[in-house]
Formats: sequence, structure tokens, C-alpha cells
Amino acid sequence: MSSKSQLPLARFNNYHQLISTTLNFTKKEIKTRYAEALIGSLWVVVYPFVFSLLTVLVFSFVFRGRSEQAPYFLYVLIGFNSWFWFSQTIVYSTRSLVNNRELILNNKFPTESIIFSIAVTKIIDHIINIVLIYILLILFHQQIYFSGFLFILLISLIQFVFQVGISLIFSVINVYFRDWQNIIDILLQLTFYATPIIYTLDIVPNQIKSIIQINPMTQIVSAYRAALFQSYIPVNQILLLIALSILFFIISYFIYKRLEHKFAELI
Amino acid sequence: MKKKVITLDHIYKSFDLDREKRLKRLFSNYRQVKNRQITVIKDVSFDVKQGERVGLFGPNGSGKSTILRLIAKILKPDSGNLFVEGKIAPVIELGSGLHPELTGHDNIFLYASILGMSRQRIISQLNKIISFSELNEFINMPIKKYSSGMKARLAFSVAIFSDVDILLFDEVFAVGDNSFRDKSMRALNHLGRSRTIILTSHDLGLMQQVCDRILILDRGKLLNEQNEISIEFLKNMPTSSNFIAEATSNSMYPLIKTGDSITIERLDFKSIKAGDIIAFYLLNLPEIIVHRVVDTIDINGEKTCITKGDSFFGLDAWEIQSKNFLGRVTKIGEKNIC
Repeated sequence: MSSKSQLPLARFNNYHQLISTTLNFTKKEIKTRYAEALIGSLWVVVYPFVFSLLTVLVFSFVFRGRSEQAPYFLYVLIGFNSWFWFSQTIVYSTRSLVNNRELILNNKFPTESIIFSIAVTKIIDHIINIVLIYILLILFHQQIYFSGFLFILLISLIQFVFQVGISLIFSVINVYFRDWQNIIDILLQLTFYATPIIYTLDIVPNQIKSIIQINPMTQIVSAYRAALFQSYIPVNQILLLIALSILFFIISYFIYKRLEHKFAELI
Repeated sequence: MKKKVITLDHIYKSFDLDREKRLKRLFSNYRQVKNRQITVIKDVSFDVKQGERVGLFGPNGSGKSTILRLIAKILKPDSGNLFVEGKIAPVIELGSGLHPELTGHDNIFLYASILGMSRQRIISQLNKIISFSELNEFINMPIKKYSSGMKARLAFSVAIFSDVDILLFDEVFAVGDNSFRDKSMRALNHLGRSRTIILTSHDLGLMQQVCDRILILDRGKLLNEQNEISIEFLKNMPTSSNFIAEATSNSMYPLIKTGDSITIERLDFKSIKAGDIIAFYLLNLPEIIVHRVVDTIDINGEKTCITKGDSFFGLDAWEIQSKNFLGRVTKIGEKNIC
């Protein structure tokens, strides 16, 4: 075996095949998920909607949840939407390498295309939900900002890059430790509570506020809200998020390619 | 002389059996527990020249698939040098690149892209692929409704129309009906000698029709590819003379075990009857084969012995005639059996 093929950077040159396998896997994901049953695609909308509704019911009447920014329901809905997009991508892609064991064992192809295809497919869910949220904004007689809409696209891109980075790393960990796919269920639950989705940051006690603010999902979710309800653009925060998500993605991708040759043996 | 496209040089490969328990061991006193390793490939060396068709034969667990995965560079050898020149198709094990919910048509695109074909290339080959697979009216149906033979046809068709230099087939002829099997074998024979093929099978008879050379694997070891026996010399030995050979497989277990020395007597083929254990050879096998005669029949007026191993892994019965016959086994170790 030539020493050249062992360098991780040498593995990046096959981008033609990466693009075509990613496209074909994405087509497969979409066809299997959306072509099968109409209700299957409807769940994408139902999930964040129902969870937001339940949250509003519980928190408005029982715990007096509220938000200064917007109607509490919309405040929670954008949080849930971003959260489900994040957690669904992570959960599916973490298991995806192990689920495609036969494929990886017998074929030599850029395996990250499996993860990319899942991430790309989940964008559709996100777009559907963003459209729904804008419809609701109109129904709630909220002001709609065009600059805010462009801003939402940018934050979505940041979130996408960020969660693909996590997906790459998590799927590798799952190849090495099969317990990981169970551990992430717990981790995601913890992250959910550490993100201001059903509550607002100002009710958080000062002692733990810094922990919650260090959570990248907190930054992403609050950026969505700023864009949606106030058309307020925190430039510094956004630049930091862009830099961090790209850096995180590059490091994850590098580690992934570094360890990819071991997958067939361990999977 | 044709150039070598694949070279395996003293290749070793082992797997860690306790992989799954590794996380648990992090919490226990893991220094005391030794990794249990199984060596699946032991010191395997061989070359394949461009355009050659090579068969890998051996029972389950003998390392056939592992060798294909090493050549495809899906697995890395622990030690030894591996050299492969040209574009390799992944190990084609029928079905592994197909998805049940997609139609045959979509699966062609999916599988061909995994095999490294560009979209334009797939489109230009699409009609050939579909017509070779004989799936004409079923091609727009989800393949979960296909029979295993139909899926095999689809995957095989994509593989042979892909533009790779080295094709690796793992047990591709285990499924599928006979007519497609014949067609596939003809296709392999007509593929042109620019492409190199390595295939594994349980079916030696079938491999003999396709392969120039058959390598026999036994528990990760290649059985003497180098020391080819001079069949001519043995055939010219006079009647009732003996020669001694060492058993290298367990195909006649429990009577003959690996490592036993076998005494073979030259004698007239006409005197062989059912129940005898005979030694014979086939041109593209590196080894002499010792089997029991289960029946003798006449084919075109020529005496033919139907032979089988006493214990064997799904081998078909063979028909042996005078020209392949070497002698009858008379002694195993020091024990007379006649």
C-alpha cells in the first residue's frame, strides 16, 4: 500500500464521486421518506407544532411562561423548529454508518456522503417549517422584516455547517463505541434543557447563565429570534458563529477522514 | 509478457475479537485482559497479471472475502506489501449497494455512483445495463418486489458496465437462475482481456469454466501455489508403483485429516469401483484432489466416476474420466485401507 493514500489530505481529492454519491443518497433518502406515505412528510411539521402547542399550554397556564419578544407560541415554535432540525440530523447521522454496514464493508467510496445526504435531506424539513412560521407570523399580525428573512437563511447555513460537523464526529464515535447512539439520546435531552427553547434567558439564575450562554445552540436559537421578531442583527455574534462552525466542521472532517480507513474493520 | 496489476507480498491480517467489549474494558482492569485476535490471512503472496481471471476457492471463513477487501483497499493489511494498479471495483457482493425502496432504475444510478461512475457515463450505459439485466418491464418497480435472482442480475449488470480495471466478485453466482448464470459467465469470458477479474465461489466446476487459475485458501493460508506438482511425471509412473502426498485439507474428514500422508498407487482406471478413494487432478487447480467414488457411469461410452469428498462444504459431485485419473489411495499414514 503506498504511503500516499494514508495521508488524510490525499483522500479529499475524489470530490466528483463525493458529489455524485451524496446526490444519489439524498435522492434515496427523500424518496424513501417522502414517497412512501404522505403522512410521513407531514410529521415534519406536526412535531414542532404539537410540541410548541403543548409547551404553551403547560407553561402559559401552569408556570406562566412568557416572552417579551413575541407571542409565546411563536417564541417557542422557532426554538423547537431549530431544535428538531438539529437533534434529528444528529440522531439519524450518528447511526447512519453502522446502519450501512454492508455498504461500507464491501465498497470503497467517500462514506461521508451518507452523512451529508442525511443532513441535506433534513434541510427540507427546516424549509417547510420556516415557511409555516412566516405564515403564522402573518396570522398573528406580526411585522415581517425582509432583512430578517435573509438573516434567517444565513443562520440556517451556520446551523447546517455546525450540525454536519457534529454528525461527522458522532458517527465516527459510534463506529468505535456502539453505546454512543444511546448516550446521545441523553446528551440531547440535556442540551435541550440547556438551550432557551421553552424559557427565556432572563429567567435563568446568574450562576448558570454562563453555562447556557456557552452552548452554541443558545446562540443559534437567539439569533433566529432576533432576526424573526426584531430584525436586529448582532454582527459580532454572527461572525463568531460563522468562524466557529467552519472551524469545527474542518476539524471534524479531518478527524473523520483520518479514521475512515478503520471503519470496515470496526463496523 | 503482461504486466502485474495486483501483487500481494506476505500479507497478514488479523481481527480483534473483543472489539465490542472494549468500552466495558475501559472500566475494568483492562491491562490484565489480553486482546483476543484471530488471524484471518496468514502470509499470503500471489500476483495477478492484467486480464487474468483468478478464482479464490475455500470453505467459509477461509479468508476469501477478506482478500478481496484487502485488494479493494477497504481493509488494510497488518503487514506485508500490497500493490494494486488501476481502478478497482469494490467487492461486488450482490445486493450490498442496492436499496429496497428504490426502483431498479434509481438503484442503477445509486450503485453505479458508489462504483465511481459519473452521471453522464451512467446515462450513456443505461440502456446496455437494463437490457443485459433482462429486467425491462420491472425496471421502474421498487426492488423490494424483486426476487433475489433479479437483484443479482441488476447488480451484476451495473458492475460489468462500470469502467473499472479490476473486478472483484464475491459469491456472485450463488443466487440467480441458471440461464442468467450462463449469460453472466459468457459475459465475463467476453469482457476483454484489458480487465482483470478475481472471483470467489463455492462452486469449483463453475470457476473452472471462467478462471485461468484457481487459488485454494484454507484457514487464511494459500495452499501451495508455488510448488506445482509435475502431473506429467506422476502420470508416467508405471502401474502399481506408489507415491506419497500430504493432505492439505479436510475434504475427506474424518478418514483423512490435514497433514496425513497418503499413499497413492498407480493402477488401471478400469479397475476402479464405487467406494474406492481415488486421486485425480484438474488442470487449473494447483493440487491433487482425493475423493471417494460414489458411482461409476458411462458417458459417451467412456467410463466416468462420480466423486465426492466425505465431508465437504457444499461441493458438487465431480465427473472424473481416465485422462484426469492419477491413482487409488491405499494407505493413510501407516494404515492400509484396501
